[in-house]
Amino acid sequence: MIIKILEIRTFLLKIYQKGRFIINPLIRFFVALLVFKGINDNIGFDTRFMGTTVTLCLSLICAVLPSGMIVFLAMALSLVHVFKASMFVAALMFLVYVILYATLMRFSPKQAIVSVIIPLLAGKNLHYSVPLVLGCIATPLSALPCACGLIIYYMFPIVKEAAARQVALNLDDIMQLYLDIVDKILDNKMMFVAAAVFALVITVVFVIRQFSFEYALVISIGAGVVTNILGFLVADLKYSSTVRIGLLILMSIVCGLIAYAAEFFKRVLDYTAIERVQFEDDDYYYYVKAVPKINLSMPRHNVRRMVDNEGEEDDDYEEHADISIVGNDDVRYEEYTEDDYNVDTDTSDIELEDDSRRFPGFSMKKETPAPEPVPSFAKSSDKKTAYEKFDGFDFDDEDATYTDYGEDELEEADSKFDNLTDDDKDVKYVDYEDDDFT
Amino acid sequence: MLNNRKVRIMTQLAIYEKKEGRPDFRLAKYYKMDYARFNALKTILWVTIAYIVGLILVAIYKLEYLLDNAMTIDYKALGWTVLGIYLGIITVYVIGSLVGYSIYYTLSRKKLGRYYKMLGRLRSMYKEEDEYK
Repeated sequence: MIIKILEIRTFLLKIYQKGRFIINPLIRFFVALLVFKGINDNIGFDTRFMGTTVTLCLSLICAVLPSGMIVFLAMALSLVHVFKASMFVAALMFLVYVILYATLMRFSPKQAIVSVIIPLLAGKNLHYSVPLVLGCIATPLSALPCACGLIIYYMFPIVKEAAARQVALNLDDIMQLYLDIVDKILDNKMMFVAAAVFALVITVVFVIRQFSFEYALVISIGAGVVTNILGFLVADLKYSSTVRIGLLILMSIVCGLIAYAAEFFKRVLDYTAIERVQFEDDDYYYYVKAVPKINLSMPRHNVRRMVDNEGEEDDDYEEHADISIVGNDDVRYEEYTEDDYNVDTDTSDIELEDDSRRFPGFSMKKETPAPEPVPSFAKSSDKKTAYEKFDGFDFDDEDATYTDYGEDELEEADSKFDNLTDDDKDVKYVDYEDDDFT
Repeated sequence: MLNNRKVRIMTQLAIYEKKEGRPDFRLAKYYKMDYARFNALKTILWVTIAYIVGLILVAIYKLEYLLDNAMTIDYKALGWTVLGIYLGIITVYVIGSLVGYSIYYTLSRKKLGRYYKMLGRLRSMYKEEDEYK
């Protein structure tokens, strides 16, 4: 079962390695598509930008550009939608984006995509997986774009409600609208709590995975899940939030499994085969603990087809034979058919050993070796095959010689050369003597 | 006749130059403290912009209070409060960015050091080939 899972992992990694130039843009395309669709569904005030064509075009742009472009275009699209409903709210949103970029996002540009992934996953309560994964692959600095994403997620419903309110363009109403928005943002304690809990989870996962004890990675994810659950439970007790505890615990565990799956694809370590070595050089004495990675190669199934070659010219004959005779019709390699080789082409009764279960990644096939071509002059006149001449012959006997070829047979073979002269074109022959056969 | 070792080293060098090495080569033009201070200056600029924007938003939020008590507000104390908060935020961000960018610079130099080591090895291989010729 485990070997099957490891084989699937190797197979998927191989596919990704071969096709990552296509897979990475595809992933960016789908993420961008989901993000833009989510924005259109939530705050789709401007119908011009809600069409499939616009969404697809924006997603295509994001597919070919770096992932930061998804964040930029998502912010731009949200501003365009809100501007259609309320110019003032759009201006306020723009200022909030400037503050978020200046204070949070610019320090971790590579993880900026997190600020759009969190609102995307939060709808399904899967956003708890983000700090767990970030703790495994990044530094605690990635808590900043995480906080950014949470602020955007909690701000969107407030902005949507405010933008949908029809207000007159006078100072009193605009001021009242602004005060309502800020009050709602400041009253939303869960936004700040979630940001703090996520920062804590990232730090806990990061710190624990740095340790060198066994299964540190798995333990760090478990600790992150526990920290997440406890953090939100404490927040629920203190602020009486609307968090459903059962759903929180369940989704935290699910997100922990997702984070473990992500780590599983990154590396798999075999803790049962740890090696400890000590050595020194001129400057230091080293205590080294080496944990081998499990890299399973896929078993390769080679299919060998035995095809009847009767009537076909064997162009490789000249490479194998010691001589090649051209120009004399009496001596032709075409005279040899498959029967002369006496090879059984039926491979159905060949049992192949499959050691792939005992030795993962290793497969041993027994292959029938191709018969070596026999020179034409060795063909006997009584239609016995050349190989049958060796029936009963003891090949291990060092004193044995090829005396089964009688004198008559050698003379018959030699006579084939009698008609050849040096003037014959492209004639190459070797004058075989008795000693050549011993 | 191909020298496999040389091809291997050159391939690793080319991969590094194309991907990871680009920001590292940009960093190599600076000294460590120059790079950290330059980025700290950029941080100060951006945090100042964010603080001014935030201050404007807070001022608008408290506009009613400010207008009602325009004559009685202690502007000196208010100014010192605003400045104090600004200095506090800037201090945190500057220290954080100095430490962070210094660590980033150190890690980048380690990778660059490995790159130059491989480059030196390649150079010695070329020298050996020239000596044989």
